[in-house]
Amino acid sequence: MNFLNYDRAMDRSLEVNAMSTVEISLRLSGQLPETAVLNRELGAVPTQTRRRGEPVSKRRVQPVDLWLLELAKWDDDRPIEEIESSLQQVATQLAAMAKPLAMLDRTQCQADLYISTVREDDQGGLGLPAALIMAAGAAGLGLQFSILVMLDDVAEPTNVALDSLAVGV
Amino acid sequence: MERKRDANRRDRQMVDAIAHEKGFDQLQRRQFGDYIEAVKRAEGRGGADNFTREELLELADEFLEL
Repeated sequence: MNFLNYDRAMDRSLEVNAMSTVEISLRLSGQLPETAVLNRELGAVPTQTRRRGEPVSKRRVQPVDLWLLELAKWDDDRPIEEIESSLQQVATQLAAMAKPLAMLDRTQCQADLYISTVREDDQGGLGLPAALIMAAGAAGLGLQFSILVMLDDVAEPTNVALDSLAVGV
Repeated sequence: MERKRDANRRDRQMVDAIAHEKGFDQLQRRQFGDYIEAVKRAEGRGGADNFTREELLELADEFLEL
């Protein structure tokens, strides 16, 4: 059973060319109105929804309500023009939802532009167009960046060695 | 600032160490990274709200059950 919209079969595409990826989502979390109400007010169908307390795996239950809309996803092989075009579309999409998003009760929930990136390169980054930042601001979205670095070929000191250095200082 | 950089480095090594511990191959290791990110997002965590070692171990077992 797939509880998280995580598609391991799709992920196998990484087998040939492992590369850095970026995903941008609109994420509402906390204590949320009913999904149908949110869908109607925001004029969008979420990619993923969860309700607090529902099982999300054999081991865990969902800690908060979740309404998530995936907005853009790319890997570093994608031409920059395509990424920029995609981000402009995201800006337009968010701008259209800004008013109802801004009206959500922030004492009950959190609304974020959530950017997740898994890095397999020792250089890189991303830029957001002004239109997207303005739309996020108009919608009252917080900005959350999650970065996971998975370099494969760099030897680093072990934790033990780092701890020893700290003690030495 | 230096303390934070060291902490981040340890966080990264934690994912690596658990992947090692569980015997993940290169593909599994990357998929596990994607899985961690998916769970973090779905749980409503902030970008800097990282998993503990115990939580990552649980996630690794959960990942293997997918």
